[in-house]
Amino acid sequence: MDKAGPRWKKGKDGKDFAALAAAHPMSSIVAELQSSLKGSKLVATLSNQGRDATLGVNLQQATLLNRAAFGRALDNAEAGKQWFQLGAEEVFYLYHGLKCISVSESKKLLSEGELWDHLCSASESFPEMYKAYSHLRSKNWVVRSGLQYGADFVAYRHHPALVHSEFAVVVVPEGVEFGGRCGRLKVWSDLLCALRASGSVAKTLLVLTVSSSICELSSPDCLEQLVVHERTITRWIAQQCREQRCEPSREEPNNEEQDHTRETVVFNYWGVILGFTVLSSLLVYKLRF
Amino acid sequence: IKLRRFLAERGALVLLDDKDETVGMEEIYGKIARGSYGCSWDAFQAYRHLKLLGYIVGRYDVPWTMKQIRSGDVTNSPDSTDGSSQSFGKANGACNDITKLLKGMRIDGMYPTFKVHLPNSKFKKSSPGVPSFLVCLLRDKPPPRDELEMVENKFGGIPLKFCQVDNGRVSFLSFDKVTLPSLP
Repeated sequence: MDKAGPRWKKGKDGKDFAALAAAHPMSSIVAELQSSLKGSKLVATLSNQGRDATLGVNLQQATLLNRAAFGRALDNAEAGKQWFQLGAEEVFYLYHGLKCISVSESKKLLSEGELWDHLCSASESFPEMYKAYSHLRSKNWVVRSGLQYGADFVAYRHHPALVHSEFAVVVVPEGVEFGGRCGRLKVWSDLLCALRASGSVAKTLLVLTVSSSICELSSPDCLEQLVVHERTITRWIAQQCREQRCEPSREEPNNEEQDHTRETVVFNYWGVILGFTVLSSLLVYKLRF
Repeated sequence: IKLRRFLAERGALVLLDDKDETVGMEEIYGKIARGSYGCSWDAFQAYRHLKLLGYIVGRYDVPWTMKQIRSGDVTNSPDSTDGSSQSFGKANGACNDITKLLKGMRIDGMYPTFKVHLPNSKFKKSSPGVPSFLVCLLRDKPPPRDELEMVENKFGGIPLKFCQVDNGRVSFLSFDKVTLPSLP
């Protein structure tokens, strides 16, 4: 499945980040985080209008949150406590997936259904986005926002400090239950734009299609009925693969221009051959007579 | 049709019609534009792109060799790997068989148009082997997931490449089904 393999970053003094990641698997970091947060019975505070939440943790839990790449640490001067900002998918994953925090809004604890409703009303596409997020997280991939790359998420094989993300993830809902959403990748300009954007940052475009059989999206129970289909879209460069079966190329912009240049060269080549033939036959003709 | 037009463009082939009169480029282009014989501009451009690079390209449903090859014909489809064949062909009996086949073909969006082999000087039309990949031409919209699954199931085993042509710019895409590994 590895197209070009993970791109591990280089550590100081030649530290081997791949080995470091292997020695500390993400699953155990997340498990440690889960038990630590559960024990503290922490409550995240959801913002009224938006999708984000803040969570106050102790320093040891802060380290675990950072190592598991959840949330963003907020600067503050409070001693002994660290505040984190969590995105909608992260909050719901910690609440519903890992079951290690509670969530409140306006000082009132929310039930699972209330939290789901709040997040769905803040963002229409929350069901499929969360399904995709939890699908990847449950396989121990690190998932962060991919908006800066024109994607929904980016997926890392381990912590972003150790490895570059391999996939730019676009989530596509499929099914009547998702209503008249403007799904992505329905027209060529969008698909090729996503492909080019991901290629320019050396990521493979991963399309997660979230499909539902008959299932209402009004409660988190629908999550079990949703199915995630994984597909990559890659560009195949004909010029590069003539010798043997080769891997699709991530970097494609230059190759398209080369394509046109090559065709011009071929035409010119024929012109030269023709001209040469004509000239040599004229020369032969002249020498003979 | 595509090979003939390709060679005609290269100036390597003179096409003669039933009355043994030369068929000019204008008429050939007209036939392509009308979608005659199941050939379209997009399909031709994809064909041309691959042929220029030395790939061995054939129509998916058309066999490499015809049962009746009249003697005296220089082989109608010289699939030489450098594409620079200078042979002349005649549009007669053997071609009529091809056109009958092509007329019968349907060109839907998600049906392979071409079978392609990597450049290979030892390629034999009598025993071509399994194609390296099949090419499906894509229409005005990206293919939906269920159509992709359907076409993959039908032609299982052989890799599929999907070709999108935009103003002469030929792009090949792979829509590979994957399963992300569960990480440790």
